[in-house]
Amino acid sequence: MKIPPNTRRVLLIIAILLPLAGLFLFTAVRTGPLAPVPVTLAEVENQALTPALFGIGTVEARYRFKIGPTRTGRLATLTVDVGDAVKKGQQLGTLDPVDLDARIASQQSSLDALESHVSMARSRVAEAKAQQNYAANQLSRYRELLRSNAVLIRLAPGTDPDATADAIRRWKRLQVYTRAEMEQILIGKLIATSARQIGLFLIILAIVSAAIVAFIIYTMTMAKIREIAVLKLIGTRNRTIAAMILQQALGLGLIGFAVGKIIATAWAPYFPKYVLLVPGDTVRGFIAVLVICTLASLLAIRIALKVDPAEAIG
Amino acid sequence: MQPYGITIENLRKRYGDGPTAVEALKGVDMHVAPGEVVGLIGPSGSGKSTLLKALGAVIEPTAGRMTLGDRVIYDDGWKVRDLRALRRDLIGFVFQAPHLIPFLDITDNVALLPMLAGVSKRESRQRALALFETLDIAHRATAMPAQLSGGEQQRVAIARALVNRPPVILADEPTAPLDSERAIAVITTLNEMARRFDTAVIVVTHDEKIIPTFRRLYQIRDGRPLEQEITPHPPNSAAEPAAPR
Repeated sequence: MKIPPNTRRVLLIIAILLPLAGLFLFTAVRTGPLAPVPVTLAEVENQALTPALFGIGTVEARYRFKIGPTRTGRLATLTVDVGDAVKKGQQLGTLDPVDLDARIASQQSSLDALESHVSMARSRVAEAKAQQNYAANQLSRYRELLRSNAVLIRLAPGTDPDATADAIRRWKRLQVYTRAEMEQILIGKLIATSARQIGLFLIILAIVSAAIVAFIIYTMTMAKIREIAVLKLIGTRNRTIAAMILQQALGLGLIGFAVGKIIATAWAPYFPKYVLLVPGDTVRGFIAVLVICTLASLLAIRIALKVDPAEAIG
Repeated sequence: MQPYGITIENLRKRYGDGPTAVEALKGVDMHVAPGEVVGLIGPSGSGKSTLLKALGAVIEPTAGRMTLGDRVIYDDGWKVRDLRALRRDLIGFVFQAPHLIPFLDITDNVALLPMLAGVSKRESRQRALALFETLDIAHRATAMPAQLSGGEQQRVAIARALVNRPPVILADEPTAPLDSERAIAVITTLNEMARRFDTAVIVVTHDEKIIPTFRRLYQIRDGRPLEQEITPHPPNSAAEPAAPR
């Protein structure tokens, strides 16, 4: 007989479940709630009862605290035991300082090293501050130098200028000149160049001034040519006419000199570069003005002397 | 003929040479007595200015003879070495414009001439001030020329012409810029001064209004003067010289 596969599968499951169900029932009946409770029978006796309690238990503290040393070390003595009552501040035991000295020594050396570092750092700060001050001074000095271009050093009496100059040259690589060298430079170069420039300027100024004065005198003379002819006609000497023209030119020069001198004296302080004028310069300038005016009047005098007295008539 | 004054005889002046030569004066004869004022008129180019320049010793005549005051100054050649001194001492000039020196006051303008002749400045100024009194401009003695009117300036010019007491005054159009009244006043002044100082005065003029004031008039035509007596004098108060002040 052939059993269908589904039936076979059901039969297989039943075959597995049946033993399991039997095992469950046996266990429940023998050891489980369904198992029989053993009972001891005793005879009831009438006796007096004495109340008593007996038990075994564990005493536990209500609060627990963990204590420990702040430094590691070996425990040398312990004066308390479990369950002892202790008070605040009570010594519980002692620690054996096995490597404490070594550690103190090490810490001390570390401390010393750190202190030396602090000292070094302080000295570095001081040095840095000194350098800062020096740099600030140098900055200020170089700014001053930038403005002034040169620094004048006054030596203490008895100091050798050449030795000082050499030292400064090596020290700062600056150009150093002693008084003698500086005088040589000033006279030979700077002052000579300035003198040439001022001289050239003065020459141009003198030529221009002479041309202006000559033009003015010439114009004034030409405007009075008829009067000059009349003067010659009525018997005026040539030298008198020349003297009149010269007088006019010198008068112009004197006025110009006075105005120029007053203006120069009043305005000179307001100019960036001061040109020192000594009284000798004023005298020389005055003489130059007179000479320029005299030369400038020559053309006008020449024309005046050429005037024909006949021009006054007709 | 008066012994002094101006005397010109056969005065000639030729400009240039050869065919282009121009004869400006063709034998001028003329005499002006001391104290006399004569007019000299003529068209342009007639030779008036040439005659005046020759009389003023600023151009040299070609030939003839000239006497100023008591000095023969030209006789076919200059007879005076220093013509400048001659002009200064013997001739006074009055021009169309006063031509005063603008930067001198009028006293110094007049005093300049005697000073040029060597007179001291003080004396020169005194002479100038005396003339100003005569010419009625003493109150302006310290004025500058530009501060005076045209008539006053011309009176200063007359004072300048008179200050060296020259025997001769040459006046070139002295009234041209003035109005009639002032023109006649100037001529009147010249007449007065001529009489007062015995000066011979020649006035070159184109001014019609003063022509009747001359007693004698020379009219130059083509280099030759024609003397012309003006009579009678027109009824003009200025024709008769006013009494000296």
